[in-house]
Amino acid sequence: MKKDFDFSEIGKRTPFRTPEGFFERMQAETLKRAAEEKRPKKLFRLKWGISAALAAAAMICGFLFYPSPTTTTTEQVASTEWLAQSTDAVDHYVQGLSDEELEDWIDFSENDIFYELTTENLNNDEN
Amino acid sequence: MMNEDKIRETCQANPEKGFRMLVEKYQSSIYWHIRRMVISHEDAEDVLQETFIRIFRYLNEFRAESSLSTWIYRIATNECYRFLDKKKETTVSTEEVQADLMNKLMASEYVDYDNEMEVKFQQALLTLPEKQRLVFNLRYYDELSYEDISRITDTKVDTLKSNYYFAKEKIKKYMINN
Repeated sequence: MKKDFDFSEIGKRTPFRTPEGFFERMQAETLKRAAEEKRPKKLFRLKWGISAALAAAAMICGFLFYPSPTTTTTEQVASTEWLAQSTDAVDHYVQGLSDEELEDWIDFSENDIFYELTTENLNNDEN
Repeated sequence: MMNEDKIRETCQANPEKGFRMLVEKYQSSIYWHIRRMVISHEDAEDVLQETFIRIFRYLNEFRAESSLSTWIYRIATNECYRFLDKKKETTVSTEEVQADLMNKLMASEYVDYDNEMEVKFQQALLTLPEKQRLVFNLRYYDELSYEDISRITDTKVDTLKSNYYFAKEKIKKYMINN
């Protein structure tokens, strides 16, 4: 039986092999995937942004339409009217934006939790 | 041959071009690092691609606190662990993962079985605990300094030295007794 093993007998050789042309193919695939990586990410962010904006709108609706134990006051009616107007204004504003502008706007409104979807904000954004 | 500084500069000025240079320079060494950890060529291919995509995603977050190659090795090592950990989720024990890797070593289209000693040497490596195997590979095959391995694995240099020493002793024993 051998008493010692000399690492230099084997050095850095391994029995592992790769298919022919593997590295060239791999490089091309990796670069292709990296190029594709950018596009879905943008769409994903856009979807997230839209979801966040819709969630915010739903919250406002929930808050304003929550049934009150007391009778409806003139003030509440005025609020719902304001919502109708302001939602129209938001829709109108959003429709007028390009994809990139929409993405920027959503990014901004997502990052600022105190940002409100009001016509006042929209007017400021437009200026 | 492209040097690391040139790649780093290009990555800052033109990320796509920089990434292409980075892939060209590191693809081979990173593939072999991953292959020695996951054994199967097909798995190594998947892990390699995930590694580079992750590098691409976080390229602009790379800070020159460590060398580019150390950063890349670190990401590749994490991807290897992620892959091996996933295996552990579907198996009962670490021993089963080792047995699975051993099976892959012994039944692969991309392993040359003509050289018995090389195969036996890889079998010996697969008897090591995962961390010891990683340290041995990075030191023995990639010839990285203990300082760099320390940055890659978040382990103290003294611990790495003893890991490497014990790994070599176990490999010797395996090669003599089998």
